[in-house]
Amino acid sequence: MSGFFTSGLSALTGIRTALDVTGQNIANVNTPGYSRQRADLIPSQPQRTLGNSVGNGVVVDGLTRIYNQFVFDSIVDTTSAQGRLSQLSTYSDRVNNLLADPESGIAPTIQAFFDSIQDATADPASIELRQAVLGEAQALANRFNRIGDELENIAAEIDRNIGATVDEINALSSEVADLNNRIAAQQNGPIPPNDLLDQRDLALTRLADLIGIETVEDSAGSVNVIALPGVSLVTSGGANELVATDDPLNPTRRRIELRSGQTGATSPIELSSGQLGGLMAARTTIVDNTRDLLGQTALTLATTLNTQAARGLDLAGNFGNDIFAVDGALSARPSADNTGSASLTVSIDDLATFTGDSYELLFNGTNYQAIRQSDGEAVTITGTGSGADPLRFNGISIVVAGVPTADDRFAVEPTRAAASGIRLALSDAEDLAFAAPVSAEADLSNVSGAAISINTTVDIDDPDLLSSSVIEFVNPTTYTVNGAGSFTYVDGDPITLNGTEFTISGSPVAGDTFRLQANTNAFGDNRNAIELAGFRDRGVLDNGRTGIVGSYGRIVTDSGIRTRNLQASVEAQDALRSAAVRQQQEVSGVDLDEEAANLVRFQQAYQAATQLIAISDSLFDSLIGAVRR
Amino acid sequence: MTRVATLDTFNRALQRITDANARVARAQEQIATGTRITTPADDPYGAAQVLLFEQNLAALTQFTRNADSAEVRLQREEVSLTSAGDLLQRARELLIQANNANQSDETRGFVAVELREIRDQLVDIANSEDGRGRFLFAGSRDTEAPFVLSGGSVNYGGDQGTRNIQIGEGLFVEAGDDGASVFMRIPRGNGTFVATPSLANTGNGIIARQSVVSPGTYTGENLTIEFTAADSYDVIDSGGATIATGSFAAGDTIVVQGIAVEINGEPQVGDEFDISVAGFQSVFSAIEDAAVALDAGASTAAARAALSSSLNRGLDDLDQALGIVLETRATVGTRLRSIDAQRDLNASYALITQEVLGEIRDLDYTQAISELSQQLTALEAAQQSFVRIQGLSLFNVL
Repeated sequence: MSGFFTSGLSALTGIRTALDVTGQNIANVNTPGYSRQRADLIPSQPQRTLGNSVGNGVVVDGLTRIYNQFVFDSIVDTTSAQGRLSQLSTYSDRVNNLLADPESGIAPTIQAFFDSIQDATADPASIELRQAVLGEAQALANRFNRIGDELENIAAEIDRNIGATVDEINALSSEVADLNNRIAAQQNGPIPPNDLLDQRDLALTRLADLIGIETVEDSAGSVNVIALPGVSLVTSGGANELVATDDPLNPTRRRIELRSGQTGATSPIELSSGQLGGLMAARTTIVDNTRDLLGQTALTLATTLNTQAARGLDLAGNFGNDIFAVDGALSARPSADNTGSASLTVSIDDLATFTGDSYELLFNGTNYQAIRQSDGEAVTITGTGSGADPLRFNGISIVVAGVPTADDRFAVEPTRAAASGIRLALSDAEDLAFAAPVSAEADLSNVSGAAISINTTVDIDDPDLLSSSVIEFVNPTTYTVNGAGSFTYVDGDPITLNGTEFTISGSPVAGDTFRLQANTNAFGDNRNAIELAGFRDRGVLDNGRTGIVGSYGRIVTDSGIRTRNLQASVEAQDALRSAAVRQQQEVSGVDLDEEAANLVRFQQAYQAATQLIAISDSLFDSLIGAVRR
Repeated sequence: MTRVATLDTFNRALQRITDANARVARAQEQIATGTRITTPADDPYGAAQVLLFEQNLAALTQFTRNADSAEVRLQREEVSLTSAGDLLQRARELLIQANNANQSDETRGFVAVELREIRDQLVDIANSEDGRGRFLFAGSRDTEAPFVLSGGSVNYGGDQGTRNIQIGEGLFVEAGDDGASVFMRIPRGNGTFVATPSLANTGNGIIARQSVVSPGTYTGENLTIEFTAADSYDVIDSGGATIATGSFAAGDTIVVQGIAVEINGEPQVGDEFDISVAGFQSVFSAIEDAAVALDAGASTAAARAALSSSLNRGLDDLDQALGIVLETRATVGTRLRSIDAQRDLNASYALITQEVLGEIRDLDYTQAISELSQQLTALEAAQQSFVRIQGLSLFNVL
């Protein structure tokens, strides 16, 4: 009889708890990270009455958080990878669009520049056509600058994001450490720390997105967080702080260090995953790499055209000055941590093997080692670094001045700043060197019809290149040079004199005279302009396989392939993460239909339980009434 | 039994709508831009090819522009050479006319005046411009008039440079000829040797024709035909040695060292005819020489003979000049034809390149529009199903 009442009462309490839990589930249907809960009702222990054991109603054993650790681990795992890929893909997209934009792409301006030189070959004396060449050169330099500057801005933006992300990570790590403590405290108490666990899981998921983590739960209920590939971020002792500091190799860049919570000491760390890992990788492999390659195109253009200009004469009859200057190229920065006094001078050794990579140069006390920045591979070096025997690798040569000490490091970035730094160096259109340095002529009074023609300048540095020379035949097979010597003439054989190679052909006779002289006043000579225009197609890089336009095309293709691959990877990773989230939601998510059904179920049970009380009351009344008589 | 969490249903349906939206936007962008490749990531290899083909197209356009420049210059040169040819023809006619026996000193003087006028006109032609204010026949020194007439002689201030202009892949055309080769370096006489009567001759021996019998035999040294009698001669070489002797009658041809000299009239004892290597002279001095000879008059038999010899030689010289002008004009014609051919070739290359470029880059509108309408249908379906699924809830029926 009392059991009957007690059952009813316990049912009311138990079912109300179940209704409360349902209400809580419904209330949190949209709460991120919320795991649905369940009131665990168990039958109350029976009391012995009249030989029969009947249960004593129901008791609430606890509130279970519906949760699956494996599913959660797979969310952390897929989120870590996705954070990295999303950043890489974002920046790859940005760079790709920058290169693809027909308004800002470089290929049309390169073409227009070479076209303007071609136009000038038709009338090399024309100041208007020469001005047009300078105008197109300026436009080309501007185009390089704009893309170079934009890439620099993206790199700076990445640096700012790195700083912001580090702050966020630190906040989340302390939150996890704090939650660890509170969960441990509450673990064996009367109220299960379900909401705290949800909060911690949410913090861990966000941490996974930002830095990429693995978690290990210890017996006390605390999670240890390891930032990939192996940096201890949160331990049972608390959180370790990340610090974004100036990179000693590159003061404009942040690098990440870990400050130990216990000792306060900092040490640089490598991060590979999450958004932070993605940002660091995007900076190196996408933005810096593109800047290097674009700079390679800019520097190659400037170097080849300047070299060719110096092989010709301008309207004033002087050797051509540089057409382009490249500010900030061929840079080599000693690390701020260096203890030695060494400084480096970088020059292009050989364009045919010049790759345009950037390197970290290490001095180990006896030797130098070059590590390519883009992939961390070591590059073979020859030479000692002295002026007579410079360090040589990948088309560059480096002369070391001063004395390095062991473990000194240098950032060697030959082309990094070249796209931003290329500018037009000529201001006067008359200074464009369109004429070849030397002209040849047969004396008009020559008796024979033998002809002379210049093939090429073989030694531009010959001190007598511009000296006049007279070749006079003393008989049909012998000639003198400037009245001296006796040289044998062979029809059509190339002859080299004062750095110029030329050919005399035909049957000269005694007294025939030919002259080589500085090609001054030949305003209409376009021979060097043709050479300059020829660099549109001529292979200069990769042992002559890749030209200037080709090297730009390669950047565009590489960027396209990278972006496409990253887009595919992001999609695949998204699908993996979605699957994990879905799995987690299947287990832990709130289903309103289910809750509605539960509401109905618990409501009916509650009504039944109230009937238990009512019936118990009327039974009692009946009993009392019967006894009163 | 699979549970479906309410929030998850919502999020996933939303994601599907976002995705469908992105695909619609992409299809729309393709249609709006008309290109299949909006960024290199859409088709990296295609993008590289587009870059390459666009570069080729631009180069072909430039080559055609260059061909136009070269063509203008060569057409102007052709016109100039035709005028020069006409003038030389006229000069030649004048010489033939002046060589007629019934001409007087006075009429020959008129011819000399006209010849000099022709010479002056030739100088003007040789100083023709190319339409951009540059002198066509100045070689590389084309900003100043190359031919300067002073005191009857013409000096050339240009050089011997030629201008190459690129009109095709690896193909250059010489867009002009230097003045030295067209006007200044005209072979004298028959191009091998020149025979002239000595000024001191007393007879009326005339050099009528000079020709080469066996090419390559003449050593190029100076020879002298000396008449030892009116009907016999010696040929003396540059060392003073007699290398041939013979008897002579008017109209006979003397052959020595493979060259033949026909002498008309009656040379006297001691008369000499000098043979020297031809070498070159300018077309202007050839005309001037003839004018000077005409000016000299022909009062004596010997003078008449000398004049006749000079005019005969002058005719040879003018024929040489005319030959060079015509030959140059012919090569100009050849170059113009090759420019035409190359331009056609460039145009057909461009057409082929355009086609290939179009295949790689351009959008197939039919396909793109059907793609767009498919994507729109998908988007509408996603939106409608979202609304309907969201409307389903057990709470609605409680």
